[in-house]
Amino acid sequence: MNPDLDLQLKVVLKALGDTVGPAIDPSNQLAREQFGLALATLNMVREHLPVQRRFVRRQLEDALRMADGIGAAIGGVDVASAVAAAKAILADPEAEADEIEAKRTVLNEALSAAITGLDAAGLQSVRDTVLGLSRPALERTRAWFAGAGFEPGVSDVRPLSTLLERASANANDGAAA
Amino acid sequence: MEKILDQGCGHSGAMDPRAAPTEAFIGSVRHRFPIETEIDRILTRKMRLRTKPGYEPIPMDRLVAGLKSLISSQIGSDFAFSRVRWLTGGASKIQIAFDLEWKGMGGDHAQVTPMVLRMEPPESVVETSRAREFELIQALDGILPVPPCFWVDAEGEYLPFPALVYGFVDGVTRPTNLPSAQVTGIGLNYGPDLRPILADQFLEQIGRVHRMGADLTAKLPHFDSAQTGSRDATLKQVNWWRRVWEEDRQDDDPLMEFAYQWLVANAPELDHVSLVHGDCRNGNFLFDEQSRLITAWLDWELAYLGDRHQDLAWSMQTAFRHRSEDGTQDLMAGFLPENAYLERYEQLSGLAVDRKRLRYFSVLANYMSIVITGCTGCRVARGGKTHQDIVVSWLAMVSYPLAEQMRQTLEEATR
Repeated sequence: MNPDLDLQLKVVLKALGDTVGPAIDPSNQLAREQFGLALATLNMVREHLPVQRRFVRRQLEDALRMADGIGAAIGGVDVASAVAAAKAILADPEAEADEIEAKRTVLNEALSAAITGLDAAGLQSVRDTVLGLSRPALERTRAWFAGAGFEPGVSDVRPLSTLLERASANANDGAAA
Repeated sequence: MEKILDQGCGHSGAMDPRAAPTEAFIGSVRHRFPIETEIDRILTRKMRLRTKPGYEPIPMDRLVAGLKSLISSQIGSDFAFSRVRWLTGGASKIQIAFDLEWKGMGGDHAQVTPMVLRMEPPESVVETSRAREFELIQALDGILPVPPCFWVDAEGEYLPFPALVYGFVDGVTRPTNLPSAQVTGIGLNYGPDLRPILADQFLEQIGRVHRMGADLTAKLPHFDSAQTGSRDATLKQVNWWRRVWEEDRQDDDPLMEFAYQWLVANAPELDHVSLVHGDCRNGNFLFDEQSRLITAWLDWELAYLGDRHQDLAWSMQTAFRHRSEDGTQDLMAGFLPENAYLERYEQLSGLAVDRKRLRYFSVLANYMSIVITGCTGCRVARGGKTHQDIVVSWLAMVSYPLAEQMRQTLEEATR
């Protein structure tokens, strides 16, 4: 389909950069700063659009691994329905990115609620799961937003393309179990 | 419909109780997370105003009219404005600069005083108290370089929203020949010549503030007091940000809940009551490029009476560091490597640094920063509540490296 989304964004960025930007009053600092951020944001969106669905799927798979770990560490965790819904959406080839994100939100609400009010022993029992399994999703999100320039050392974050690859079959089985 | 979807629903698709909070929701959050009295009032007001319209550009004439009403209520009508203009900078407040032609507070000395109006947007990335900020600046006069603070409209009685009128102070937040590529001072690099000169002033002056605290209490009626040997001041601080998380978040996160539970369980007893700046970092003070002296400390809105380690930990967050020119070390707050930074603070302040406390407050500083940037920043941008939505939305991205720093610190602390 033409013009495709990428082309539409590309021409918007060109118009803004070539024509609109130079017409901004140089003394209007607020306008210049916001214009610069608008361009940077649109460039980031253009880069992310083609891989957004893969990104949110990987994030939900990580949340499922977290659910497994927390469930194993503390008994009586009420996340079964959230886990089932998350697995169902991952199995649905028609699922849109925002629908996948919605299931992750519900699952994370349930997992956070399970941690609320844990005593010291309970906290220690989920420590490895929460701290260890937060890392992959955080690294992927840091790679996603690395273009913002907030990383103190980007070199310790692997490339986004690597982090969007599916985990090993075994790991995925574990998440889906 | 789009408006409802945008503001009324979270990712889950269910109605978001935070978008149009009921009194029951507000009361429940207040009960669960006890905090300082004035902060409780401000956050409760924020939630009750949440469904009000977003930010719309305010004509300069409207602000000038409000300013005129505010100043008239204090000194009568014998004054005039000139050189009124918008100011940029910062993501949380609307600012205009102007000259006031008047006869001074005593009414007997004709003068022209450059001033700044600093007003809240409909909902800010940090909701704080103008009354608190006003009385703190008054209390610090003569103790530390701070901008003179003339008048306060604490409840938005005269202006569209609560506001302060400051004296304009000359100076820059960053070297003009070394411009930072980032907004709001993140990644600010002073350069090797200026760095040691500013570092000593920064650490000596923040140490001066930290030595005070208990002796300022009488001048700070909008601040809860703090006591040595108690955990209350720190727990109120922890609960402040946990409450904001509960009020503003779009999603929950097990790491954030784990961090909160750990912060509550491990809050240390206060060993010394300090005035804590709350946003102590590079970019939050002005300096004169000729004399190389700090001319004013800015942004006191997060100040409270509590533990000095919070300011140290805050200033040492990854977002405020950068690599040394030779690429071998991270410079804390853009000044010194970690050990040198802390040793110099001890020398200049006469106060000890407890590494275990510092680690605790490192987690708290990260937790606060994540709430402000990643949680409230997205909430106010989603509601279109500020004049800088694109800036706060951009700043939300810094929350992920901060979350990784918090995760790593928690790993060390719970090992």
